Amino acid sequence: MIKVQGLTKIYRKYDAGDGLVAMARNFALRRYENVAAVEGVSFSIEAGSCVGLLGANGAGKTTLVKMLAGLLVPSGGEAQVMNEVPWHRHNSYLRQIGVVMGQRQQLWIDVSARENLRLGQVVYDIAPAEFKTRLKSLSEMLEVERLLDVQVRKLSLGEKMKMELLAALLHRPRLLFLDEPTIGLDVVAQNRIREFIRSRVREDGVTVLLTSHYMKDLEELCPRVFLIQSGKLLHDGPLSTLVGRLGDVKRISFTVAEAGPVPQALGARQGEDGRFYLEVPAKEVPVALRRLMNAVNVDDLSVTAPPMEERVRQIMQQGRVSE
Amino acid sequence: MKPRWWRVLSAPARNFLAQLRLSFVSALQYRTDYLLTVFSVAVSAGVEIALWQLVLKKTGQVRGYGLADLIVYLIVANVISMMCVNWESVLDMSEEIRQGSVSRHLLKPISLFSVATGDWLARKIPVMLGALPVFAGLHHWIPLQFHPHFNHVLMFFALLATSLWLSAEIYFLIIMTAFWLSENQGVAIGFNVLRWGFAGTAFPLAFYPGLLVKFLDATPMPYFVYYPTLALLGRLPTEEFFLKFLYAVFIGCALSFNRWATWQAAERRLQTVGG
Repeated sequence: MIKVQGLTKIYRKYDAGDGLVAMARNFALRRYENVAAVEGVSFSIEAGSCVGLLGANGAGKTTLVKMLAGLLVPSGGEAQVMNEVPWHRHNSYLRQIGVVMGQRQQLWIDVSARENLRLGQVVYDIAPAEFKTRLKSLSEMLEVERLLDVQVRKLSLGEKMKMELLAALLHRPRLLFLDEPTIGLDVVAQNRIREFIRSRVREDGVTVLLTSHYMKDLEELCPRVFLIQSGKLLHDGPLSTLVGRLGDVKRISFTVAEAGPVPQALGARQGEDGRFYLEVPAKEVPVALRRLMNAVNVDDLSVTAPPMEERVRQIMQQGRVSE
Repeated sequence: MKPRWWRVLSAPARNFLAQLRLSFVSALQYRTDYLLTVFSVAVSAGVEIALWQLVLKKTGQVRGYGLADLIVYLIVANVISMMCVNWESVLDMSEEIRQGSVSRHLLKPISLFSVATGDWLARKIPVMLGALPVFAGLHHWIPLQFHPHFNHVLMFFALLATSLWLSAEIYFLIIMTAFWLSENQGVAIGFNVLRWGFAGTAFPLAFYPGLLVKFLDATPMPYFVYYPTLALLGRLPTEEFFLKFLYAVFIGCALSFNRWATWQAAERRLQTVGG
């Protein structure tokens, strides 16, 4: 479905400088520098799979998605998606993909979603009967039937995102690019959208490339995850493998009867909730607990695995994945 | 279901009409904008007429135009200009390119030219429909000496079509400059100012010195407003009409080719970082 070899995108940027003098100098003489947003990325994706793209802000995820969707022309490398070169943007290619960008609306906001979808019907050449059936089934699944005739600008963020998904899937694309589709949504809306994406992968066999900052999106939807850091592909495999590379760590969380310097001396840090947290390798938990009990008067204590978000953040902060 | 070959061949026209419809519905959402635009168009024509009334009170005639001729000329020229001048969609679409939201069009199997042209005409049609009765009302207010012959109407529509074509091509080329110059509003503003002065909207180009008129004749400028207006007023002889029409088609073809070539380069330059 997708074959990518050494894909690179270099942006030309300039530094505006700090202060009026620097800005005036920049106005007269602009110094550009090349920044690699994506550098030598290679991978392949099978049809019908859901792959997650993970990385810090500015890591190059969206640039990669935009190149594969055909929006950006790469500075180097090759890509074949459904036997087409994406950035040639042939209509035959554009008819087979759907794109949702959480931070960039694609619908016309001054008209209703139904008017937007009508444009899609013509542009994607969907037969009237099929359009009707598809619209009914998708809008029921997303629970937006009653909102189809409301001006898009008057919809809530979650409702807009559902409409974007509806518009992206109306023409039965074989490949769906989802760039942060759950950003800014509440937990209920996030779950609904996740469930919807899962059902499309299962029932329509659509291939999904998903970027998200919410680890739950990736955990629940993507058996395979790419970690991108500074434009480079650092990990290609299950999320659990990525997290496992940090080693098996447990988090001891506790409160103490009387505050003092002792918990910090043990290496614990105090969270905003007032609790103390101590992270230790799993096999050292009994020793750490013993030391803790001897040192302080513990009120409440629990031992858990650290949240996935935090572990991945750790990996991203380190900027490398240990082999 | 129509045959596949028909669907493929008719796709650009169907896409354009669908986009025109959507943009039209979108334009109708803004009632205040609409009413103010209609009002401003009528007011600007009224101001021009009032100024020429003052000038011609003393001179009586300027280069073959008396006050009655000039009033008719200005009304027709303003109607054509209203249809062809484009500020809003050029500035909006340039901003979309600058901000990266143009991707919503580029990700669909529809040409950006169809989107831009559909959006432009959709904004113009309601204004045109609203302003025409205002201008027609002038006929009761000022006795107009305006009785066009059928041939003149045909010539007018032929030249109006070329005017729209040339305008669409040039405005799309201006939009394209946003792929190179993120601050391309200056290009759009500059062109519209030049157009106001040299297309024949403010007054007939015959008022300019002969050498300048000859120079302008080689550019698309007089084909936007001046020649269509002359045709409707019966001031363009038939032989000259054919020459002008052929030349306008020639310029249109050159601009279309230029637009195609520019687009090939422009779409490779899209630089949208983040989001």
